[in-house]
Amino acid sequence: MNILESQLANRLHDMMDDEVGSAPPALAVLSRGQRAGRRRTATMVATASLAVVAVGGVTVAAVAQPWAQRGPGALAQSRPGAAAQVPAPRPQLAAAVAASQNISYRVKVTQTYGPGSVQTTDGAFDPASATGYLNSTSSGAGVTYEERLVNGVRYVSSSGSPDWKQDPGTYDRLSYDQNLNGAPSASVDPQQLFETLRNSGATVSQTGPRVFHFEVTVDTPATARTTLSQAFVGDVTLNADKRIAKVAYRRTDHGTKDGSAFTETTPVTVELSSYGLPVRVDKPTSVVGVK
Amino acid sequence: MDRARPLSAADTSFVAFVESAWQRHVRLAMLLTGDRWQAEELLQDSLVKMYERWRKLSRRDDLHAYLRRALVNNHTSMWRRHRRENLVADVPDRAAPTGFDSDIEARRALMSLPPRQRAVAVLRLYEDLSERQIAEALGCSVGTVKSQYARALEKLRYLMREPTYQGDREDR
Repeated sequence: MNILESQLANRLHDMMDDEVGSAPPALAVLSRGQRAGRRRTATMVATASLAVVAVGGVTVAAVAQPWAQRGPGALAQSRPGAAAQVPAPRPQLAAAVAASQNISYRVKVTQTYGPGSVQTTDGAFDPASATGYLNSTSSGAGVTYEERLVNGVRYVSSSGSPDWKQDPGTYDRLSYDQNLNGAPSASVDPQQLFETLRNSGATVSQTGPRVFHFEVTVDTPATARTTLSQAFVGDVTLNADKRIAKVAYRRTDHGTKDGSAFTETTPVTVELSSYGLPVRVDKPTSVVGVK
Repeated sequence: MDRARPLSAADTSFVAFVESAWQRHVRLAMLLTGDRWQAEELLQDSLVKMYERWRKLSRRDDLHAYLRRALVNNHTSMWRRHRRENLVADVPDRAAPTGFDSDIEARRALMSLPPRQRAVAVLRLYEDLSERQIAEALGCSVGTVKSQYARALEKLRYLMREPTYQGDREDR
């Protein structure tokens, strides 16, 4: 090395020697890798998931209503011709979707990837103020992820990291994709879910006074290396105010990747509550901005 | 938090590798990105990609070299996608009197280099790799490394004004 190179090398080493070390977020990286692996087997899931619990343009199934035989309206509904007065499931669910949109809510999402591997996320969001939070815990690797959205400014943190990081720009929604790993999360983001309920297709039937059953299979476009077909089966439950209280579904992925067949099933439960209540989130105290 | 589920052998070895590699490679990532936050993101992304191939990779004995190559390539890809490193505009337009007066000045000069030149310079000057090792790390020829390194030095020399003599002139 000449003098210039020596000076540069010494300067670089001096600079880095002065840097404060950070704890290796080994478990966080492991968890990301595990989730990326699951996501890899479900290419295009985000798009496919948008079809879950879809209503618009549906093929409305023959409505089986066993609850009607037992419920308060059993007599009326069992009379000849009474069934024709029962609203079809599609408009009822569409109305519930409309009532659940553009309003604050609390949310809890549970995804089960296998025995002992459960990801649980709690959160709340007020679309009017673009304020909310998500706390996500992955039991398999014992890793937590957190997000706070304060008046459109997003702060994120994970276990092993002492600081919160502020994402550049402003946002009008929580990043379910990051906190819930993208694939299933597109269908658990209530705002996207609600849009899906309005616009996509599925087979829907009403199985209880406030319960709608849905089934849909989505074939995603094949790539050179991957084929994927996804079957969604689940139920939507409304609350007393006829807003969506719970969406529970099981997603089964069938496909091939590089010639190897795979099948993976992921149960997902999205519970919504506290519609219309105020959401208050404080800005983190220790924030590292992105340049 | 449920930690009852034990990690698999592969996951355990991966966690051990991350713990051993983090401090060493986060500094390399900082020199490539010029920013700690981006460096940690870059390193995490590279490690996650390694995890996806861990069952095959874990049998290799050059894991650190593999991670180094992944870091450089991911950084180049990231730079091409975003092109939003914001320190370039702050590079001084004339040379400093003698060398870099501060770490900030040196960092800015380094960040003024295109990512490939920067990678070559960092791998040569900080990682102390040979030209052949750098070529292997970057997946290019030794000739390319030489030309990239020469251009990087030329620009850094302009920014810091290399001393033109090696001894004390008054002693002659």
